[in-house]
Amino acid sequence: MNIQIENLVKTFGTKTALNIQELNIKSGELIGIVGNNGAGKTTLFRLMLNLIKGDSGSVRFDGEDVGKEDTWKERCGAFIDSGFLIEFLTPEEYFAFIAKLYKISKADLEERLASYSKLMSEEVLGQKKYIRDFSAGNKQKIGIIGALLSRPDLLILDEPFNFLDPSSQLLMTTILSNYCKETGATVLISSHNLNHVTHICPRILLLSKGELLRDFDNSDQKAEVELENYFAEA
Amino acid sequence: MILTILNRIYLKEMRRSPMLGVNRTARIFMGISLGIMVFSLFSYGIMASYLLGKLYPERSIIESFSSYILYALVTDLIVRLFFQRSPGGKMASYLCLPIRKKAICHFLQLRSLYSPFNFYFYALILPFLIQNIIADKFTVYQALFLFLGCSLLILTNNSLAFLVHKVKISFPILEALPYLLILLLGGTAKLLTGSFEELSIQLGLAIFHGNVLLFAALLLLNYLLYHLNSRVVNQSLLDEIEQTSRIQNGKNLQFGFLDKFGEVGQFMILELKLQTSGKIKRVLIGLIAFTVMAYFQVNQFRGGSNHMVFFTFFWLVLGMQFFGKTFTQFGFALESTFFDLLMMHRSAIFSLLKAKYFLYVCGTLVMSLAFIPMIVLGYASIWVWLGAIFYVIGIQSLQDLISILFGKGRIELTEKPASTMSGYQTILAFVTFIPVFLIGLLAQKVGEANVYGVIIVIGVFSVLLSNYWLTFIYRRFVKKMYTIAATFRK
Repeated sequence: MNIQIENLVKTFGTKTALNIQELNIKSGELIGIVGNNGAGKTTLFRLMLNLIKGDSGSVRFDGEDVGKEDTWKERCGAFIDSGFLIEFLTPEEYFAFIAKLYKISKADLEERLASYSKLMSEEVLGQKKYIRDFSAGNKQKIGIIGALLSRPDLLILDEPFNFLDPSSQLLMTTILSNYCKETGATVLISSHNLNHVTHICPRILLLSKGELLRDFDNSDQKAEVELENYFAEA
Repeated sequence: MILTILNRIYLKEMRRSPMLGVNRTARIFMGISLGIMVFSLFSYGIMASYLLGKLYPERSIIESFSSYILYALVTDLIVRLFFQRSPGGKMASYLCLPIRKKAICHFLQLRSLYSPFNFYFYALILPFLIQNIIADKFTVYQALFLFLGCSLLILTNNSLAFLVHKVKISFPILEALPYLLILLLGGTAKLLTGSFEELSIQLGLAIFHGNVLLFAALLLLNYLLYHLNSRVVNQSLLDEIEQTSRIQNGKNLQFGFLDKFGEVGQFMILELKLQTSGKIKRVLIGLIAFTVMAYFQVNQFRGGSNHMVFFTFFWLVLGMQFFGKTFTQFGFALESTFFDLLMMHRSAIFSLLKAKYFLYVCGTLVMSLAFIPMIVLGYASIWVWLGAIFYVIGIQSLQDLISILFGKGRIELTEKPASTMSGYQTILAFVTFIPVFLIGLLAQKVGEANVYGVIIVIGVFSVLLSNYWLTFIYRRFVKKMYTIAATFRK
């Protein structure tokens, strides 16, 4: 899915949370977004998903303005934080609910869930617990798997490595990287973990105080040094 | 299709509310409270004809009943504006999924229909109607018209409350609306009784006789409100979600004089700052409105008939509670953000409890001063005044603070309890009002001095023993926190 962002501005009171003049993302790109706290990463995702209204500008998915139409939702999977989970459902019910909305058959659902069994490591399914009773790490896994279930053309994940143990973090990098290659989907992740981001993302966007500071070509995985230098001085 | 799926999910949400996940004792307690509430409403419904006959012997039952319709509607709307939850803030999880925003708007309105505020009225009116059909005072058609008309009016109120809740997200000035309605109600009770009551009677009679124009107008009004609400929700949904993450910046008052009370004083300062931040005007408007309303209402009932004596106690308790409760109504919800820190210095929790109780007592006493002229003018006895004070600070405060033990429910350490408090507060509101009504009724039967004398004695003992029960609540609360922590770890 192609993404076009133009003159996107969002302010909270007197503070400008985001101000991006132009950003184009091509279909099939795996993009990492980095920046310190308050850089505007989550605000950008929320605006892209039409969860908050921008003061001006537009976000278009394949030419379709996200603020005006709803059809892009059928081709998009996203997980921002645990507040986006339906906490009073069990993980099984949550996945079944998503499957129903995306018209995924029961057999397909089981097959897709099975492909994430390693990530869930017998701690998510069959626990007879509501999502609200899971640990933060397992909630994170449930949310991300939920976003991946529909095999979306656009996957947006905010801090996907948060709360995950080291094994799960590594597994997550593999899952995201493979997903992008196998499906040709556009994947956007934000993270504070430079290692993971520079390891898997061929293109990295650096945000600072709401503005797009740099657009790194990381196809040779050399952006890490530059990013480390930037964050050491910032 | 999508509405059916969302509806099923919502039913699950209701069944799985953390409020129902509390221990068996709490569930039994809540069940009994609910039972008493339903029983009380049925009793009032059954007694309504008798009471109306006694109050207005010169009028027919339907005229007497109708004279209350507009008052009941305004009161219902006020209660809704204060207590009815407006669904919408937790819709973020659905907005990322392939569900059209339009469907979410319809779903939110559908969801508002499940509110208990739309059902309590049936427990009241059904026995009233059945009784009058049996007594041949109403025909089946007339009863049916009354039932349908009142249902439409309740539906209108539901839509109006929904609309106000949504619009006030963009226009916070609407926060003052319930207080203005209270003033209107209080004012009309004394000053505009004739015309307001006449209008109410005309409305009731038109419904009773199945006036086609009125029913058509009510249907049209509800249709228009439904579409208006859909448009408003469509506009306000994102604002509502955004609002939950926005930090409120309000002017804070300083309370330096409390410094000398040590740790308890510090918590009182913190609590006062938390409660008054950005809400000072609202609290003041509310205080004035409640006082005016209490005067007018009590005066009206006093002047009208001795059968309504119990309302005096009700309004006094409500008025005093309103100010006192401002400082305790959320239990520990506001402290949730720094509660883990408090657990490292556990004795501070005891100081916090004490601070809350002191503020509750101070707030109640300040409000009680506003009712003194009422005693001087002879509108109410000193018994009912003292009874209300000691009921609020001695009995009600114990009940409120004990609720903290149940209010935490099954909440994990990583979550804020505020999200689960609303349902519990609804139950608490019922538990609060029913004993007050019962005490008022008893006072009417047995005599004010006897009943309120007993209440005063119980209240004084409770205040004197407050240190003991605060210690009990503190110990149980800490124990509960450890249990929750252990469950989380497990």
